[in-house]
Amino acid sequence: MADSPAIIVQDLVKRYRHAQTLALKGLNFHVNSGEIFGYLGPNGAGKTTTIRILAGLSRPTKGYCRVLGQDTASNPTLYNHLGVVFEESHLYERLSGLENLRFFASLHGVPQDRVLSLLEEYGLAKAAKRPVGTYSKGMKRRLLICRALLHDPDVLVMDEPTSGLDPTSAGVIHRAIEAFRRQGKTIFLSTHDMAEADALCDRVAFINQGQIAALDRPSTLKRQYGQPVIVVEMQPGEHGVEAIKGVIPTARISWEEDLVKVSLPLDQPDLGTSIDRIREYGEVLTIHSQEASLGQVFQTVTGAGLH
Amino acid sequence: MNFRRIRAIIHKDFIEALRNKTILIAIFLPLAASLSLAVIDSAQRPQFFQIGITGEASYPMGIFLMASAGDNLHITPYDGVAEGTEAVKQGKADALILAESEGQFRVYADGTNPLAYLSLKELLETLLSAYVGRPSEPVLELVLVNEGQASTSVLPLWLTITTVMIGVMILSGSFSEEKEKGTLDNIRISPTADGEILISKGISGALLILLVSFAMLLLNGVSFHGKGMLLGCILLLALGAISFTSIGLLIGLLTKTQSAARAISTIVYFPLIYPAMAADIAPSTQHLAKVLPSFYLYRGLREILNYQSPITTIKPDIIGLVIFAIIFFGATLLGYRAVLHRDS
Repeated sequence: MADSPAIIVQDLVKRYRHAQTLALKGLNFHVNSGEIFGYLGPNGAGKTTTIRILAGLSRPTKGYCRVLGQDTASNPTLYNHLGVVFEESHLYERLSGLENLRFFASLHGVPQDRVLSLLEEYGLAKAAKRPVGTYSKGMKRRLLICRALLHDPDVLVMDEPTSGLDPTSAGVIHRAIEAFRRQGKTIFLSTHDMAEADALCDRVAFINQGQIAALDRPSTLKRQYGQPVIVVEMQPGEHGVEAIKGVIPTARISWEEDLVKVSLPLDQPDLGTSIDRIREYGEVLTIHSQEASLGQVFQTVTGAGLH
Repeated sequence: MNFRRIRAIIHKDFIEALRNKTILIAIFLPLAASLSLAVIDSAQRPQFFQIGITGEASYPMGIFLMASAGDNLHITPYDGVAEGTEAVKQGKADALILAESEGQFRVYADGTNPLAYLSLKELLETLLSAYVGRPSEPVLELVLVNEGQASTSVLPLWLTITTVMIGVMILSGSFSEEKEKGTLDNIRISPTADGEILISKGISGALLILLVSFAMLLLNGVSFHGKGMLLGCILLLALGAISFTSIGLLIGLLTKTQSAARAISTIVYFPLIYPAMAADIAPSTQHLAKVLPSFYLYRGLREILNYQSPITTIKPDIIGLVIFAIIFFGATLLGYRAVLHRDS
């Protein structure tokens, strides 16, 4: 991994017109060259605002963003090195996939044969001449990735690239991200999906209410904030749920149809006793240990829940 | 300025326009209307006429006409029929009355606008009957000048309507759609500069206006007599297009949704076009119309198409349109930078 950061965010503040509160409250972080940097947070936390400033589409109120050493505020040459995948379609729905890519290729001065090879690579060659309006969500997202990769950027900014996609489509995008990393490129990945961030990212930052709540490697954060647990999966008997609630804090209980899952901290001194008591209130189906997740980390650092 | 990028945006805008039903309807509606209504020629019904007079008995007749209908007529004496009919041909006079002897009149009337002609004929018949003191009609021989061009007389009106409609209504909607759907963001994250985006959009609108306008002219059988007429037409339409597409882009910029842009452009459309159409009704309406580019576009097109005036005649209209084009394009450029970079 190279030493010089690909992205530097310094004292970044954003206040929207007529807004009572700040959307971003002095963010400071950097993204190293060649790393996948996860940017996690609930809706309204400031993820998209940060991305719009990073992409040069919005001006910061204070502070700055630099991508490959260039200020993102009004700098058209930056876009020769930066690719952005938006969460929304942002494509011309009356034009075909091929026409969309050809148009953006012309703006970047990219040879047209690059368009065909990307469409082929992302499984869109057969649908290339169909209007984008007829594409599925997954196809549109893949087309957006093709659009972002047209000019072979060094830094790729992705805003919720797998949001609302089925596992197959999400898998295609995950493979694209990994392929991009293998080329030594930098990825700034904003996501809601903790599992996705855990699997792909070298480092993650948690943003909440316009502030960075935690930032480090996923494994470090899980060690620091999370807690390994024993998960007891059971079918409760009559009034079993109420009885379990009487002995286990509600936050540690979850339901899936008629099954109940109880998570008990592995370092809990009376762990064995707790499990024995639970067994009295229903039929235990499985007992297994589980590592701390990024979802737990987020819950701990922000007090909010994510999936 | 990168021409490859400008060409790419124009090309994309054209493909999009051809696949957008709303835009196609807005283009073909005035085109079809120009053909169907050319027969009716209901452009306007002027109540005020410029009348030329000549001939041995013209002086007392002129005095009588002035005294009888001074509010409706402006009388100009001409040295002869040739000079007078030339004025009618050029649109400087609506008719020339040749008073050969008492009770014998020949009227050379402008035939480019049948409704105006009918109105004028009715007025002159009444006045000249009163002048000769006979209840029956005086001997009135009517000769049409500019005959055969009646079908094209409403074209300046339709061309002005088309220019304003495409420039203001279509451009505002399509630009707002780009903003609303985020496709503009996708252009902005390419090396395309703000000025290139606006110029491309302006050229797209202007080319669309020129294409539809020339289709309208061809379908209505207009033939261009000399390069001056063609050049004048192109100049007027192109300059008008810049002004109105700039207004359209400005509306698109200032509105958040496509429906809001279309609603505002519909509201703006009528004040933009109506004063120009009504400029001939009275001096006050003309003063009002002079603050709008549609007035100069309409007046210039009328001179060129209806009266085949030389290009020098429309110089004031071209200057007026240049000034409006600079003002509106400048305002749009400033607005673009302020609105899109400010974000709400």
